[in-house]
Amino acid sequence: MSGADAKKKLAAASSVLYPIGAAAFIVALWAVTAAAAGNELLVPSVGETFAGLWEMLGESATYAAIGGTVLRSLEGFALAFAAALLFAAPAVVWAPCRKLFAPFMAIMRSVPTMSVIMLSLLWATGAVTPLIVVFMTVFPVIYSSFIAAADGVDRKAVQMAAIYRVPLGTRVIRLYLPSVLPQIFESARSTLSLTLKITIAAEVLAQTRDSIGVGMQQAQSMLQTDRLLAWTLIAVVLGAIAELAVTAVAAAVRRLRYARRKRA
Amino acid sequence: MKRKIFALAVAAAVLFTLAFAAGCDTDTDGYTFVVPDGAPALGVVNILDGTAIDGVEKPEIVPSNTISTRAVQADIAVVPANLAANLYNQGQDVKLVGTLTHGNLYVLGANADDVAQLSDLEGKLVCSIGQNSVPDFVFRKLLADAGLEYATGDAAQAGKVTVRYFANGSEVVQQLIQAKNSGSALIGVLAEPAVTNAKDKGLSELFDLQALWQKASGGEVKGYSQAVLIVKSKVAEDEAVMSALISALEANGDFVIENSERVAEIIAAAYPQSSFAGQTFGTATLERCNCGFVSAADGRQAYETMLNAIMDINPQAIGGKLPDVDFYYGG
Amino acid sequence: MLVVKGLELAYGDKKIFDGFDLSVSDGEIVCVLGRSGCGKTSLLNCIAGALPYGGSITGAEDGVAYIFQEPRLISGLTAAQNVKFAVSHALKDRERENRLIDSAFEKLGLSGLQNAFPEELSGGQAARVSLARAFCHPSDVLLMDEPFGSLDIAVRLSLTEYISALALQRPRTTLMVSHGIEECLDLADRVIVLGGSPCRILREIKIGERRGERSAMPERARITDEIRAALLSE
Repeated sequence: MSGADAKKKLAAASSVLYPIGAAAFIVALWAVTAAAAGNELLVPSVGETFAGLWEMLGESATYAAIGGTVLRSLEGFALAFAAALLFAAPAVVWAPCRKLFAPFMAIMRSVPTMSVIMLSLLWATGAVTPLIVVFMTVFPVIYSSFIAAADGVDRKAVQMAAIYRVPLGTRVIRLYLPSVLPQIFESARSTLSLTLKITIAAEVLAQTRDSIGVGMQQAQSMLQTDRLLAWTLIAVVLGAIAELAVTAVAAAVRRLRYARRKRA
Repeated sequence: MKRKIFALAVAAAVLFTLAFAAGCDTDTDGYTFVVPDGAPALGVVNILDGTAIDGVEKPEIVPSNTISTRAVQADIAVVPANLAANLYNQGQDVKLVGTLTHGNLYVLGANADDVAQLSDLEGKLVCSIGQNSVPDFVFRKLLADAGLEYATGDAAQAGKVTVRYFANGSEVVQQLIQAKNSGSALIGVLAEPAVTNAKDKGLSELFDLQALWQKASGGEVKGYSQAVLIVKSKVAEDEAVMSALISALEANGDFVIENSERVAEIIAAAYPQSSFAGQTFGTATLERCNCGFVSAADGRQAYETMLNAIMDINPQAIGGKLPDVDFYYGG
Repeated sequence: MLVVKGLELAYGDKKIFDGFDLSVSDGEIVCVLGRSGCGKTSLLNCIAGALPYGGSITGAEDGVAYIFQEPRLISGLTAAQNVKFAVSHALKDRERENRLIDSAFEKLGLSGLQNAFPEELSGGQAARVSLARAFCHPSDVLLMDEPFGSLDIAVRLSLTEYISALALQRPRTTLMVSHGIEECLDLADRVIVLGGSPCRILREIKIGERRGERSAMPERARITDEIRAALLSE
């Protein structure tokens, strides 16, 4: 095989081998810790945990919980994303708008998660509370990334577009969007994992039915530490899937844009 | 450079593991003693106040949601009744010494004057705490005995008793007060001493679950096994310590009643973040907490009644089966 | 006809223009020289409508074609797409647009690079795409801000030729800011030396309407001296 082919194969192999290697290392560390602790209730062994996981995967309640949490995370994220877009668009175009929003974003960032949960439980149900918590946490973050991405657009190209009187639609689609898209994908990728974590934490405090959070809490209270770890594994895998999905979409979009080469 | 960092990371991980392992096996002078914050702590107030037991360290109060892990490591622990059996069935080294508290649960209502007996709860929404904990099992068992169907949810459902769970009692009180002010009907399950506070705020007491339980189970003593004391076998074999410990526990019941104004203070002094901090309890309130030591031998039947009730609802909460005779100290 | 009348522009406390006048006839090429920072680019930007100003500017209301100091290409678009980005909405005719682009790219030595991305172009090629963009634009007003700035001499000479030829073929009202006296002599009908604070016309030199045989022009040396003197007089 040619040199370029060999390089490609090596790159593909290492992108799979590195994560596997890291996972293997963690499992090895886990096994050592479990053996050293010697108590199944404190540190379940790898085998016990996977046995517990297998058991859980045979129960419909597990899938209800996973579905519930995933749905809630996605809903919360989608709401925060859409709202961030809605507020960022005018803020980018009009400076007074941006100044008006700034203090609200700062407040939202500083409100303690606990307060949000407790206050929202007074008015909303346990199913809605995690959504609110996710929104309050994620919305300011995505908003800031939108603003930063828009600010990062090449100023000179912006001026060029203005002087040539390019219509707003063309400007947004051909200039702004391609410029901010990579940053947006990156921000979405990191925020999705955060969303999942926050959703689960909020579910415990809000006692949301059909949730991974309550599943974890119940496992803990009934001394099923192996199940607790199994739930944790599930959550980690879900987070990984989410990140992979975003990366795949970003790559697909990139390929799509470069495919335009064929046209024109 | 990268290799060096990697090597350091591995070394650090190994060291960390060894330290953890080492930390799990320390031998201190006295036996360690943990107690969860909340009503179970009422079972050891005199010991907290200073009644020393030779060979036993002063009890450490821990947040109630950490009690399962702390109990595994401690030599002596106060735990919820079902947790004791669960630990034993999971192969942990524990022996049941006795029950410290016998139930402090009451059902309160806002705008719920139409509820006179349990069956009137059908089609209503009940706010409760601690899904799959002793209070929850007691309530669900009583519902089952009354022929009522239990369901979870956020709103009342026809034909069932719908329970909505909250993380702690104060949230339930908030919900009840909101309902009271807005004129809607709502039921809540609460534990003393929060119940007295809630009644002061205008909520009415509907049922005494301890009394209902006694009626349903036909027991001689009002109430059920709620918080119990467990010890590791090495402590159980130490006769001197055991007799001192049991004497102190037996004396606690009266101590709590005689020193009721100071009880909250004593607990808060040992654990400043306690949920009891800053409060003062009346004698009547503390009497309704049902503190009083019943040994494992004397209380075995009542204890097993409780375990059986839980088995019908959720066997995993007690570890799947009734513990055998070795579980009970002195019996 | 491009008419600037009573232009006023201030940057903070500093007055850049305070009652500045300039006229450029249809199809005339005027080159602007002057030391850095005196306001040459600001003048172009006011005409292009990119800066708020006092006074009046007529003749450029329908938009201008502008060649910047840097290529200012959008990196996610191909060379051809970059031109279309600025030009499509003004041309409104797909076929004509494609013909113009093909022709411009060919004349500028860019054939085959229509589908190349800016990262793949050399500095000179990118600059030429920027030129193509301006020349495909239908506007009758062309503004150029040191278009040959960082290009090497060979490219500069060929581009000067191209602009010269294009000006003959399709005359446009052109205002070009330049750093090089040579280009001015090769392309301009009129040279203006700006300077002072606030900025004003220090010297105006008419070159003549002949184009093409400028290198053989006898007055070249004299005019060069005149321009030099004006530039140094400040």
